[in-house]
This record gives sequence, structure tokens and C-alpha cells, in this order.
Amino acid sequence: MKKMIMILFILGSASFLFAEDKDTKKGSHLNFDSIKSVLKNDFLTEEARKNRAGELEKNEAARKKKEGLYNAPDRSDFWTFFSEYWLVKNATILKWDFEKPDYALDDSFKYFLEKLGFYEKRFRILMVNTPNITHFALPANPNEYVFIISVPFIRTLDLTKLEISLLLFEDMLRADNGYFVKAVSTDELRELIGKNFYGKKVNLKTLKNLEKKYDEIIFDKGFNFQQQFAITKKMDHILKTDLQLWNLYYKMLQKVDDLVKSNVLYTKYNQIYPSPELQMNWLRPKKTIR
Amino acid sequence: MIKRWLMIFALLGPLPLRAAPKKEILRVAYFRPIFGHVHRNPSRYSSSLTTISCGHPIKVLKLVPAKGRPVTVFNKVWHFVKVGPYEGYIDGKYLKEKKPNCFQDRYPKYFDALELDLTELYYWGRLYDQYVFGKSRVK
Repeated sequence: MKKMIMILFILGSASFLFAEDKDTKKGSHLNFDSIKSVLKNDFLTEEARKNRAGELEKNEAARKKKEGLYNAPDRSDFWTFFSEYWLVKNATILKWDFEKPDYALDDSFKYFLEKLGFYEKRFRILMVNTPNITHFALPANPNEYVFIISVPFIRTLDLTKLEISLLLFEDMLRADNGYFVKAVSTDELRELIGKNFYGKKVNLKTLKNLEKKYDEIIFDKGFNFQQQFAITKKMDHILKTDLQLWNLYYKMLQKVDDLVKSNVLYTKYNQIYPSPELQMNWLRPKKTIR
Repeated sequence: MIKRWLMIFALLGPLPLRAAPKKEILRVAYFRPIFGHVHRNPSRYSSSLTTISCGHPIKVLKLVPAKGRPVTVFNKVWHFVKVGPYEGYIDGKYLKEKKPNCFQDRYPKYFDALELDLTELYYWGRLYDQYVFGKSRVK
């Protein structure tokens, strides 16, 4: 019996102790309110608020940094990169990795542009060893140009540096008018360029489609008659200030026209750039004088 | 017997005179284009020792011969460099003093998503060997 009383006493005192402990804990929460005014007077709440704000700022910055990793390139970065990506993907078709003589096109085209008053134009030229593609300006970042020119085409036509510069300049005007970019741009692509894809995957299908569109424009479709007419007229206006250049351009078109009519390798040229013969017609001054 | 020894000395004698020039680090530069190559010889068509990407640190070397002045550049274009275990040549226009703001660093997840394979990295480097660069300027 005594033992039972002892056990009950011990259990009772233990539960009392626990209850007291809980009360003191509760008390500490409650007591915080009671000392709020003291804390306020000591600027501790203000300090705590500042710390909380600093922490929130840090978290926000970390979140932004993490999200920033998922940015897709914007317009000023997208096109040169993608054109290079296309060139890399088509390296075996275009055959641009080959040894060739130095045509010094960097200097000749630079002088050509400066002579016509086209300044601060950054360009890169890639020579390809295939007749499948003759000359082209690929989409590039603002004020930048990525040109492709075929060495077999240059050799077959025996083009001079000035004639090559004229071809590149024609391509440059096409690039400035944005024909290529307009032809390959889709809503899907606009959804990708310059957007953030945090929490999503990059839509690789969009890029695959863009690759296909590049192929289509470069190898099959090319440019339409209206676009060619606009470019030829623009060339006419610019080159008329230097009649020697204008004559050279006209003669070069004649050369290209003869080639595409006689050489089966270049029959597609008329499909891509319709057509040297028409261009000559558009350039030829009208005979009637009123 | 003496003749044989004389022959051996005559053959081995000149070897120490041809001391190879010492290679010293001139500076550290960073690679500028997206991808590129360290070439075996100072030519854009020379074979590639290794492919490097934008922002890669490169030790530009100078050669200090036993006699004469140190040689820093082999010609005006090509720089003699060390990248990892490889010693080769890189076109000077692709080197930058400060770390460049690379495309890969600006858009890392987009770039990773393209999943370029080794052949494509190699070709991307070759592209910068093959390009002809230029810029028109105001006179």
C-alpha cells in the first residue's frame, strides 16, 4: 500500500512539473507581447524588420538569377547564333571546311562598302566548296552580316573581287530588307526569342522547324519577283552614282544569266534569284524619250 | 678502338650546344569565339590539338633562347599558347585580355538544350578558322 502511495505521489509530481513547464513555455510567448514596447524602444523590431527585408531581397535576387539561366537569346543575339548553328549542322553538305586561296575579300568588300558610304558594317564571309548554293546572306544580329559564297561559282564565272563584292552587296540589301527573317519567322519562334522558359523545356521542335525553313529558302524557294525587283531597283539607285560600278553590275548579271542558261549545275539559280535576265530588263533604261 | 671513341664523341659532342629555348608564360588570355581550336602549326588549316570554348583561359607563351632575345610571337597573327597539356597556336584576334561575355554564359540552359555533340563542337571551331572577317569604318 505504501508503495502504491509512493508511485502515485511520484507520478503526480511529475505531471505537475510537466504542466508547469508547458505553462512557462506558453508564458514566454505571451510575455513577448508584454515586452513588445520595450523591444520597440530598443529598435529591435525595426532591426528584425530590416533583416527580414534583406533576406527577402536576397531570396528574390537568387530567384531572379536562377530564372535568368533559362533566358532564350533575344533578337540581338539570336540570329547570328542560329545561322552558325545551321552552318555547323550542314557542314557536310555545304563543304566549307576546305583549303582555299586567300581571295582577300575582307579588304575588297570593306573598301567597296566604304566607297559607297556604308560604314560600321560588320561582316563575316564563309566560302563553300559546292555549287548547290551560290551566294547568300544568312540572318544575323543587327549591323552584322553572315555571307556565304561558293568557290566553284566564283571560279566558273571567273568573278573579280569587285564582282564578288557586288554580289555580296546585293545580298546585304536583301538582309537589310529582312526578307529571309520574315520568311522563316513563325508565331512559335516569336514565342521563343527573348523569352524565359523557367520551369519548361526549350521547344526544340521550333528550332528543328526553323532549320527546315532555312533549308527551304536557301536550297529551293529563294526570293520572289517583287523582292528581286525591289532589290534590283535599289542596286540601280545606289550604283548609278558610280557608272563604272553600274556597268560592271549589269555585265555581271549578263555573265550569271549566260551561266544559268548553259550550265546544268546552276539551273536552280533562277528559282532562288528570279532572274538575272529580268533584272537586266529592269535595269535597262527605257528607249523612248518624251 | 681510340678511333671509335673519337667517332662517338664527335657525334655526341655538338648535342648540348643545341639547347632548346625555354618556354615562359607571357600572360593569360581568354578565348573569345563560341568554339575554336588550338592548332598544331600556325595556320588556319593546320590540324587541331584540342577544341576549346569561349572564356577558356589560355597561357600565352614566349620562347627564351639560351642566347639572343626572347621570342613572343611567331608572326603577327599567331600566338604560341599552352592549353592544358597541349602547346599549339591560336589566332591572336580570338584572344582577349579580360574574360569575354560568352553566349554560353548568357544563355546557359538554352545552349545546353541544343545538346551539341563532339563533331558539332569541332565543326563550330572550324567555322571560326574558315571565316573571313571584316568591318567597314568611317574614314
